[in-house]
Amino acid sequence: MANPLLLDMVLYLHNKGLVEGDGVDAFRDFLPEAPDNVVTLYEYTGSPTVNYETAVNRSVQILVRNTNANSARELALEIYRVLYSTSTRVDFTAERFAAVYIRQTPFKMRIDESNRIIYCFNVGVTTSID
Amino acid sequence: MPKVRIKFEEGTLSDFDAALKTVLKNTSYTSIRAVEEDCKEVLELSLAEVPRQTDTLAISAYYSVKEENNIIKGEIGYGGNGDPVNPITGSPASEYMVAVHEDLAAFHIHGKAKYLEDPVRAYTEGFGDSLYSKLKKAVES
Repeated sequence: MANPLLLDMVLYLHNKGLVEGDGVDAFRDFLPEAPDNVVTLYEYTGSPTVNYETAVNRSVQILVRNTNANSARELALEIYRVLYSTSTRVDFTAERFAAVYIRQTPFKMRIDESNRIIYCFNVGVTTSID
Repeated sequence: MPKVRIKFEEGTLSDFDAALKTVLKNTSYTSIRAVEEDCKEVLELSLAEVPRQTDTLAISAYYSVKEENNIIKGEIGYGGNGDPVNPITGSPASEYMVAVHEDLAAFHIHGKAKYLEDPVRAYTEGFGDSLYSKLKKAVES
Protein backbone atom coordinates (compact mmCIF):
# COMPACT_ATOMS: atom_id res chain seq x y z
CA MET A 1 0.00 0.00 0.00
CA ALA A 2 1.32 3.44 -0.91
CA ASN A 3 2.42 5.95 1.70
CA PRO A 4 0.18 8.95 2.38
CA LEU A 5 1.21 11.93 0.27
CA LEU A 6 2.28 14.05 3.24
CA LEU A 7 4.54 11.29 4.54
CA ASP A 8 6.19 11.01 1.12
CA MET A 9 6.74 14.77 1.15
CA VAL A 10 8.27 14.64 4.64
CA LEU A 11 10.59 11.83 3.46
CA TYR A 12 11.56 13.97 0.49
CA LEU A 13 12.41 16.94 2.73
CA HIS A 14 14.39 14.61 5.01
CA ASN A 15 16.37 13.27 2.04
CA LYS A 16 17.14 16.86 1.05
CA GLY A 17 18.46 17.50 4.58
CA LEU A 18 15.79 20.06 5.45
CA VAL A 19 14.05 18.21 8.30
CA GLU A 20 15.17 15.54 10.75
CA GLY A 21 12.14 13.33 10.34
CA ASP A 22 8.46 12.60 10.64
CA GLY A 23 7.27 13.28 14.19
CA VAL A 24 10.63 14.79 15.18
CA ASP A 25 10.58 18.26 13.63
CA ALA A 26 8.21 17.56 10.75
CA PHE A 27 4.51 16.95 11.25
CA ARG A 28 1.51 16.08 9.13
CA ASP A 29 -1.86 17.83 9.56
CA PHE A 30 -0.82 18.72 13.10
CA LEU A 31 1.04 21.66 14.62
CA PRO A 32 2.35 20.62 18.05
CA GLU A 33 3.06 23.13 20.83
CA ALA A 34 6.62 21.75 21.15
CA PRO A 35 9.28 21.78 19.84
CA ASP A 36 9.39 25.44 18.84
CA ASN A 37 11.05 24.97 15.48
CA VAL A 38 8.98 22.74 13.22
CA VAL A 39 7.72 22.17 9.72
CA THR A 40 4.09 21.11 9.33
CA LEU A 41 2.42 19.98 6.13
CA TYR A 42 -1.34 20.32 5.87
CA GLU A 43 -3.47 18.88 3.12
CA TYR A 44 -6.58 20.90 2.29
CA THR A 45 -9.26 20.94 -0.39
CA GLY A 46 -8.21 19.63 -3.78
CA SER A 47 -10.18 18.47 -6.77
CA PRO A 48 -10.55 15.04 -8.37
CA THR A 49 -10.57 16.25 -11.96
CA VAL A 50 -7.58 15.50 -14.15
CA ASN A 51 -8.79 14.60 -17.60
CA TYR A 52 -7.50 11.34 -19.11
CA GLU A 53 -5.33 10.60 -16.08
CA THR A 54 -5.74 8.58 -12.92
CA ALA A 55 -4.16 11.46 -10.99
CA VAL A 56 -5.97 13.95 -8.78
CA ASN A 57 -5.24 17.59 -7.95
CA ARG A 58 -4.36 18.00 -4.29
CA SER A 59 -3.50 21.05 -2.20
CA VAL A 60 -0.77 21.20 0.42
CA GLN A 61 0.27 24.00 2.73
CA ILE A 62 3.89 24.06 3.90
CA LEU A 63 4.21 25.83 7.25
CA VAL A 64 7.50 26.68 8.95
CA ARG A 65 7.60 27.87 12.59
CA ASN A 66 10.73 29.14 14.29
CA THR A 67 11.64 31.36 17.24
CA ASN A 68 13.86 33.28 14.82
CA ALA A 69 12.08 35.07 12.00
CA ASN A 70 15.01 34.85 9.61
CA SER A 71 15.45 31.11 10.21
CA ALA A 72 11.73 30.53 9.53
CA ARG A 73 11.93 32.51 6.33
CA GLU A 74 15.16 30.85 5.16
CA LEU A 75 13.86 27.32 5.74
CA ALA A 76 10.59 28.15 3.99
CA LEU A 77 12.59 29.44 1.02
CA GLU A 78 14.80 26.32 0.97
CA ILE A 79 11.71 24.08 0.91
CA TYR A 80 10.28 26.30 -1.84
CA ARG A 81 13.47 25.80 -3.88
CA VAL A 82 13.48 22.00 -3.61
CA LEU A 83 9.80 21.83 -4.60
CA TYR A 84 10.20 24.19 -7.53
CA SER A 85 11.05 22.64 -10.87
CA THR A 86 10.67 24.16 -14.32
CA SER A 87 9.24 20.85 -15.53
CA THR A 88 7.00 20.78 -12.40
CA ARG A 89 7.93 17.10 -11.91
CA VAL A 90 9.21 16.18 -8.46
CA ASP A 91 10.06 12.61 -7.42
CA PHE A 92 9.14 12.50 -3.73
CA THR A 93 10.12 8.84 -3.36
CA ALA A 94 10.96 5.96 -5.71
CA GLU A 95 7.25 5.07 -5.69
CA ARG A 96 5.71 8.54 -5.97
CA PHE A 97 6.27 11.31 -8.45
CA ALA A 98 4.09 14.38 -8.78
CA ALA A 99 3.63 17.60 -10.68
CA VAL A 100 4.06 20.40 -8.15
CA TYR A 101 2.59 23.83 -8.87
CA ILE A 102 3.84 26.51 -6.51
CA ARG A 103 0.93 28.83 -5.71
CA GLN A 104 2.96 31.65 -4.16
CA THR A 105 6.32 32.42 -2.63
CA PRO A 106 6.68 31.98 1.16
CA PHE A 107 5.13 34.75 3.24
CA LYS A 108 4.80 35.53 6.95
CA MET A 109 1.45 34.24 8.12
CA ARG A 110 1.57 35.38 11.75
CA ILE A 111 3.42 35.48 15.07
CA ASP A 112 1.94 33.05 17.58
CA GLU A 113 1.22 33.51 21.31
CA SER A 114 4.74 32.33 22.19
CA ASN A 115 6.33 34.89 19.82
CA ARG A 116 7.30 32.23 17.29
CA ILE A 117 7.25 33.32 13.66
CA ILE A 118 5.21 31.34 11.15
CA TYR A 119 5.95 31.41 7.42
CA CYS A 120 3.99 29.41 4.89
CA PHE A 121 3.20 28.86 1.23
CA ASN A 122 0.83 26.64 -0.71
CA VAL A 123 1.35 24.20 -3.55
CA GLY A 124 -0.90 22.25 -5.87
CA VAL A 125 0.19 18.63 -6.21
CA THR A 126 -1.05 16.47 -9.06
CA THR A 127 -0.42 12.87 -8.10
CA SER A 128 -2.16 9.60 -7.32
CA ILE A 129 -4.71 9.29 -4.54
CA ASP A 130 -3.20 7.38 -1.60
CA MET B 1 -2.25 28.85 -57.71
CA PRO B 2 -6.02 28.45 -57.13
CA LYS B 3 -7.97 31.65 -56.72
CA VAL B 4 -11.42 32.39 -55.37
CA ARG B 5 -13.36 35.52 -56.09
CA ILE B 6 -16.17 36.60 -53.84
CA LYS B 7 -18.46 39.43 -54.79
CA PHE B 8 -20.54 41.36 -52.30
CA GLU B 9 -23.11 43.97 -53.01
CA GLU B 10 -22.29 47.18 -51.18
CA GLY B 11 -25.61 47.21 -49.30
CA THR B 12 -25.03 43.66 -48.05
CA LEU B 13 -21.59 44.60 -46.74
CA SER B 14 -22.87 47.57 -44.76
CA ASP B 15 -25.61 45.36 -43.26
CA PHE B 16 -22.95 42.80 -42.34
CA ASP B 17 -20.74 45.55 -40.87
CA ALA B 18 -23.61 46.90 -38.77
CA ALA B 19 -24.53 43.39 -37.55
CA LEU B 20 -20.90 42.72 -36.64
CA LYS B 21 -20.65 45.97 -34.68
CA THR B 22 -23.82 45.07 -32.78
CA VAL B 23 -22.43 41.63 -31.96
CA LEU B 24 -19.13 43.14 -30.74
CA LYS B 25 -20.96 45.71 -28.64
CA ASN B 26 -23.24 43.05 -27.13
CA THR B 27 -20.30 40.72 -26.50
CA SER B 28 -18.29 43.39 -24.69
CA TYR B 29 -21.28 44.48 -22.58
CA THR B 30 -22.24 40.88 -21.80
CA SER B 31 -18.65 39.94 -20.91
CA ILE B 32 -18.51 42.72 -18.32
CA ARG B 33 -21.91 41.73 -16.93
CA ALA B 34 -20.92 38.04 -16.92
CA VAL B 35 -17.70 38.71 -15.00
CA GLU B 36 -19.68 40.90 -12.59
CA GLU B 37 -22.24 38.13 -12.04
CA ASP B 38 -19.47 35.59 -11.50
CA CYS B 39 -17.74 37.85 -8.97
CA LYS B 40 -21.04 38.24 -7.09
CA GLU B 41 -21.59 34.48 -7.04
CA VAL B 42 -18.06 33.72 -5.82
CA LEU B 43 -18.35 36.43 -3.17
CA GLU B 44 -21.62 34.89 -1.94
CA LEU B 45 -19.95 31.48 -1.69
CA SER B 46 -17.01 33.04 0.13
CA LEU B 47 -19.27 34.91 2.57
CA ALA B 48 -20.83 31.57 3.50
CA GLU B 49 -17.37 30.33 4.53
CA VAL B 50 -15.69 33.37 6.09
CA PRO B 51 -15.31 33.22 9.91
CA ARG B 52 -17.87 35.55 11.50
CA GLN B 53 -16.93 36.04 15.11
CA THR B 54 -17.45 39.80 14.77
CA ASP B 55 -18.51 40.04 11.10
CA THR B 56 -15.59 42.44 10.46
CA LEU B 57 -14.09 40.32 7.69
CA ALA B 58 -17.48 39.80 6.06
CA ILE B 59 -18.15 43.56 6.08
CA SER B 60 -14.78 44.16 4.41
CA ALA B 61 -15.56 41.80 1.49
CA TYR B 62 -15.75 43.43 -1.93
CA TYR B 63 -15.60 42.85 -5.66
CA SER B 64 -14.79 45.12 -8.57
CA VAL B 65 -14.84 44.77 -12.35
CA LYS B 66 -12.66 46.86 -14.66
CA GLU B 67 -12.06 46.93 -18.40
CA GLU B 68 -8.58 48.00 -19.45
CA ASN B 69 -7.17 47.63 -22.99
CA ASN B 70 -10.00 45.25 -23.93
CA ILE B 71 -9.21 43.00 -20.97
CA ILE B 72 -11.93 42.55 -18.38
CA LYS B 73 -10.62 42.03 -14.87
CA GLY B 74 -12.72 40.92 -11.93
CA GLU B 75 -11.32 41.22 -8.42
CA ILE B 76 -12.77 39.66 -5.29
CA GLY B 77 -11.21 40.32 -1.92
CA TYR B 78 -11.32 41.31 1.71
CA GLY B 79 -9.97 44.38 3.48
CA GLY B 80 -12.12 46.72 1.38
CA ASN B 81 -15.16 48.89 2.17
CA GLY B 82 -13.05 51.25 4.27
CA ASP B 83 -11.13 48.38 5.91
CA PRO B 84 -13.35 48.06 9.03
CA VAL B 85 -11.78 47.61 12.46
CA ASN B 86 -12.37 44.48 14.53
CA PRO B 87 -14.17 45.64 17.73
CA ILE B 88 -12.42 43.01 19.87
CA THR B 89 -8.80 43.34 18.73
CA GLY B 90 -8.80 46.88 17.34
CA SER B 91 -7.10 45.66 14.17
CA PRO B 92 -8.31 46.54 10.69
CA ALA B 93 -9.50 43.56 8.60
CA SER B 94 -6.55 43.87 6.21
CA GLU B 95 -4.11 43.22 9.08
CA TYR B 96 -5.41 39.77 9.97
CA MET B 97 -7.38 38.52 6.95
CA VAL B 98 -4.40 36.56 5.56
CA ALA B 99 -3.65 34.84 8.89
CA VAL B 100 -7.30 33.81 9.26
CA HIS B 101 -7.36 32.61 5.65
CA GLU B 102 -4.18 30.54 5.96
CA ASP B 103 -4.33 29.20 9.52
CA LEU B 104 -5.62 25.68 8.91
CA ALA B 105 -5.29 24.74 12.59
CA ALA B 106 -7.52 27.51 13.92
CA PHE B 107 -10.98 26.62 15.23
CA HIS B 108 -13.93 28.77 14.14
CA ILE B 109 -17.49 28.46 15.42
CA HIS B 110 -18.72 29.93 12.13
CA GLY B 111 -16.70 29.67 8.94
CA LYS B 112 -13.29 28.24 8.08
CA ALA B 113 -9.80 28.93 6.75
CA LYS B 114 -9.35 29.19 2.97
CA TYR B 115 -12.65 31.07 2.87
CA LEU B 116 -11.74 32.72 -0.44
CA GLU B 117 -9.39 30.22 -2.12
CA ASP B 118 -11.77 27.26 -1.82
CA PRO B 119 -14.81 29.00 -3.41
CA VAL B 120 -12.64 30.47 -6.18
CA ARG B 121 -11.13 27.07 -7.02
CA ALA B 122 -14.51 25.37 -6.94
CA TYR B 123 -16.07 28.07 -9.13
CA THR B 124 -13.20 28.17 -11.63
CA GLU B 125 -14.00 24.66 -12.84
CA GLY B 126 -17.35 25.78 -14.32
CA PHE B 127 -16.32 29.34 -15.18
CA GLY B 128 -15.56 28.72 -18.88
CA ASP B 129 -18.91 27.03 -19.55
CA SER B 130 -20.78 29.73 -17.64
CA LEU B 131 -19.13 32.55 -19.61
CA TYR B 132 -19.60 30.70 -22.92
CA SER B 133 -23.34 30.22 -22.41
CA LYS B 134 -23.83 33.87 -21.45
CA LEU B 135 -21.87 35.10 -24.49
CA LYS B 136 -23.66 32.68 -26.82
CA LYS B 137 -27.00 34.03 -25.65
CA ALA B 138 -25.81 37.62 -26.26
CA VAL B 139 -24.51 36.86 -29.77
CA GLU B 140 -27.70 35.04 -30.76
CA SER B 141 -30.01 37.78 -29.45
